[in-house]
Amino acid sequence: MSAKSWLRLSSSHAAAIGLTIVLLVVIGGGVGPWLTGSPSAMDGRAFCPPGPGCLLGSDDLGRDMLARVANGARVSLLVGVAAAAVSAILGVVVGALAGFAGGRVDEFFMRVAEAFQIVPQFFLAILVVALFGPSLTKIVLVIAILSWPSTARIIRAEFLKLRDQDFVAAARLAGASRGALIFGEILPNALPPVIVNASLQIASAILTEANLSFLGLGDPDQVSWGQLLFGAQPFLNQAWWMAVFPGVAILLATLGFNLLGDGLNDILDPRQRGRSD
Amino acid sequence: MNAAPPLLSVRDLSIEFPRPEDGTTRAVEGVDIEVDAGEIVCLVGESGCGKSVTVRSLFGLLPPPGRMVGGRVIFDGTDLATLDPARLRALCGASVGYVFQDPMTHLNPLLTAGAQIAEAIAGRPRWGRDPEVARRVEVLLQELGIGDPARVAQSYPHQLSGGMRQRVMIAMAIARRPRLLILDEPTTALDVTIQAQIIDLIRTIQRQTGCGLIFVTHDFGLVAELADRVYVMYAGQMVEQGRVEKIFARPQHPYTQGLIDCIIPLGGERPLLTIGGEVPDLRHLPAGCRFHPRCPRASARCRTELPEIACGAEGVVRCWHAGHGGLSPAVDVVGPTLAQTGPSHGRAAGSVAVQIAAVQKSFPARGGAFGGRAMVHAVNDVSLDLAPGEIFALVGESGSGKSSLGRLVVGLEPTTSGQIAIAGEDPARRLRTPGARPLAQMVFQDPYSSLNPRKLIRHALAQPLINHRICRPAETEARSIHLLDLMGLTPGADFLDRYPHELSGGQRQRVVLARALAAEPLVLVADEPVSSLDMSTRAQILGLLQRLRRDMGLAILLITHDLAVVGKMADRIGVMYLGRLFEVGPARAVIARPTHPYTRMLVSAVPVPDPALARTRTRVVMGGEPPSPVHLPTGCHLHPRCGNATAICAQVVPDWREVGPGHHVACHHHA
Repeated sequence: MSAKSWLRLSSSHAAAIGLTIVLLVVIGGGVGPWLTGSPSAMDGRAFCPPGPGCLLGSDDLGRDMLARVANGARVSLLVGVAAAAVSAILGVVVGALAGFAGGRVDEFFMRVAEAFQIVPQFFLAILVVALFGPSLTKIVLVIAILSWPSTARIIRAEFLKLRDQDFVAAARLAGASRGALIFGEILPNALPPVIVNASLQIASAILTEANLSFLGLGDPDQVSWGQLLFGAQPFLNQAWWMAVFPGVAILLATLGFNLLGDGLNDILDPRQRGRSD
Repeated sequence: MNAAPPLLSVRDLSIEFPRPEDGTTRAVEGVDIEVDAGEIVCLVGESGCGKSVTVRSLFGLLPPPGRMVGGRVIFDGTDLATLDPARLRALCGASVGYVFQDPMTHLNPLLTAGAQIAEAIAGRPRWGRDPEVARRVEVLLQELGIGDPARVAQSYPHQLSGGMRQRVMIAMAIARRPRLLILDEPTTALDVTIQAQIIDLIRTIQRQTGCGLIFVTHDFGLVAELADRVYVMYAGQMVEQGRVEKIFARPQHPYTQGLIDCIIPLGGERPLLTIGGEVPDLRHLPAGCRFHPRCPRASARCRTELPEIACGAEGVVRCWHAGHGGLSPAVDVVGPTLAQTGPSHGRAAGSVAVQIAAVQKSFPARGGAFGGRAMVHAVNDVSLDLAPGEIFALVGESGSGKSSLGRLVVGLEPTTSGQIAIAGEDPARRLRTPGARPLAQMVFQDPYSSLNPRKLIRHALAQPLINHRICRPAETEARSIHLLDLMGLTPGADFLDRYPHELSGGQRQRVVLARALAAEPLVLVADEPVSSLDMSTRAQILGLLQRLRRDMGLAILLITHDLAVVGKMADRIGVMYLGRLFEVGPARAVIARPTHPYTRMLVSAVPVPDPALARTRTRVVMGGEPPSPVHLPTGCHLHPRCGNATAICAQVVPDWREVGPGHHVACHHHA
């Protein structure tokens, strides 16, 4: 993005709030664990309520909740970004091929996309994780495979609209190969809605991972927010902080990415741009 | 003027557009307009002069964030500033009609034309409920010369042609018999032939209803056809005002004179003229007179002092050096034209650049009924040859298949049957062959969509140079700069690192030309290269095309609907209708002595830049519009619209006959 885009980003309220929250989560996940120490160190009193010394309290084994929430940010972000990235790449490639080639190729890919879209997604995710065992990689792949069709459809629609534009014909006459037409000429014009969509998908991937973990299907070796909620279930009466803080973190992160996505949508929409910027 | 108070009187109107980034721009400043009942007033100027903003502001239709910051609008004795919004709306609805340039964006795509006209008549949507209103809708459409009003009333906007949509807009505007009709570039998006029909229609309406009429246009040729009085605007200010005969006979302001000189007349020996430079950006207005940077009469005083608009002996004008016969800003940018070089210049005997033999092109109609296999017959049995260094013009209404033929020639589409050969090779096959340099290049109609909005100009030029190995990679930049210089974008280096949206329409079209020439083609297909440009820039691009033909021996297939341009540019003309050629011949012969009835109609549709002549001549009128190319008429394609048609026309496709040297016509009834 150019400097001007960043300027516009900061001038849109929703986007600015979203960006701030996202940055907080990123910094918290990136730097937090260094400051707070290991999330699995059992060096405190169990069920210590939030207060000075242990800000967010501690859990049933005396582990510091602040360290665990900060580490959870790292895991949840990783899952969200990785899943959204894989799904965006899959979606862009499939959508670009379908939209550019048209005809039977288009028909085929769109039917495949529909097949993925009609499956009850969360149920399939549970099934896959339950059958093949939970690991972060598998969870990322499952989420990506279930969410690429929306990106593919967006890209396909953009390609259908753009491929008949004069500048594409001009590039053909200028000797551009098919690959250069797809990735060099059309794709840069088709990307803005995908970027917006990716932002929303990060949020939804974080939620899906939390849901899976809450049901006990998360990666047991990773401390994600969903895992924390799962761990808090038996102690809801004794230690409200064990559930509330990870919950608030999930809420904030998804809210942040959603606001950012909406803001990007306003900013990257070419109709909102003047001619002279 | 008149003793009675005018219908509309605008005093000292000023409009501002606040911009958060860089302060406020004043789009219109100190404008006075008067319109009497029964009078046609034309507002003229290049784009960016504030004409549309002015007429929109009169009845509160300014697009936000624009706002009226000064002036009074008195309509029919009422000061509009004293009315509350509801009363203003009521007055506007009952007594004022607006028609805008693009009917598609001003019609509701989800309502039928009839429903929208009914809404205009009744004040709310009531189509299908009230037979009385439905009947009035049909009567109204009939008055506008629509043959089958019932069908049009039941059609949705996308099912109607551009001309028909504009008629629907006009019907809505006059539904409540307004006392003032405001038309904002109503014919700019239309074909010349449809434009002629709409202009005739506007004149008829005005005569019948006796309403006052404001007509906004950038085309001085239309002013001659319509206006009683003319207002000329430049950079947000009024610069001259007067009766149409006087404006044309004795223009006082240099800008007015320049605009009149830039009209491209049909035939004649005058070269193509242009006003150098561009309308200034309203954020960076020149000091003194706003026109002085482009004015040959400019003196030291013009650079520092802004002249007031003053009523002198010779009319109302804003200029220190007003007067008829002064220097005109219109200059000849073209160099020697056809008049000097002769129409057969560059045509080497016997050599052929493009050979088109019995070409047909059809493709499946989009949409259509379920599983329907309707075919659009875009090009039907066209044969013609282009010599190197020749400009061949294809003319015809939209939908005549001329653009389709152009795309076939550059090879973007394969032919359905028949052959096209450039230097003995099929262009479509050559374009598909990796590494082969296409021998034909194309300039597209819309310079806004023919450059990738996300790529630098550098990329647009480097692409053909590198892909076609025109020069070594290290020389790409130097070569690109040279091409830009050649196209008049000097210094070329300044343009390499700009994005298309940072350039004006004319500059973009030059970049598009430079890119087309980078691949060193033998043939250039120019598809309406100037129809989206301002009058004064048109001549510059056309002059460039002529120079290229002269200096590089390029064969140019010029696709256009503007016969005046053709007369100045082309060696030969082919007149196309529904994918078929009707008349082919030397440009001057065809324009001076059009033989085919269809050609005669096209020629007479061109506006005449002389108010007296424009109102007295009789036009050859051909009712209706071209039928759909899905269901072609039998025999001669024109017979359903042709006044001369007889039984044979409906059955037999006419043969070609020679009516002059190199001048061929396909008509059963030529004299």
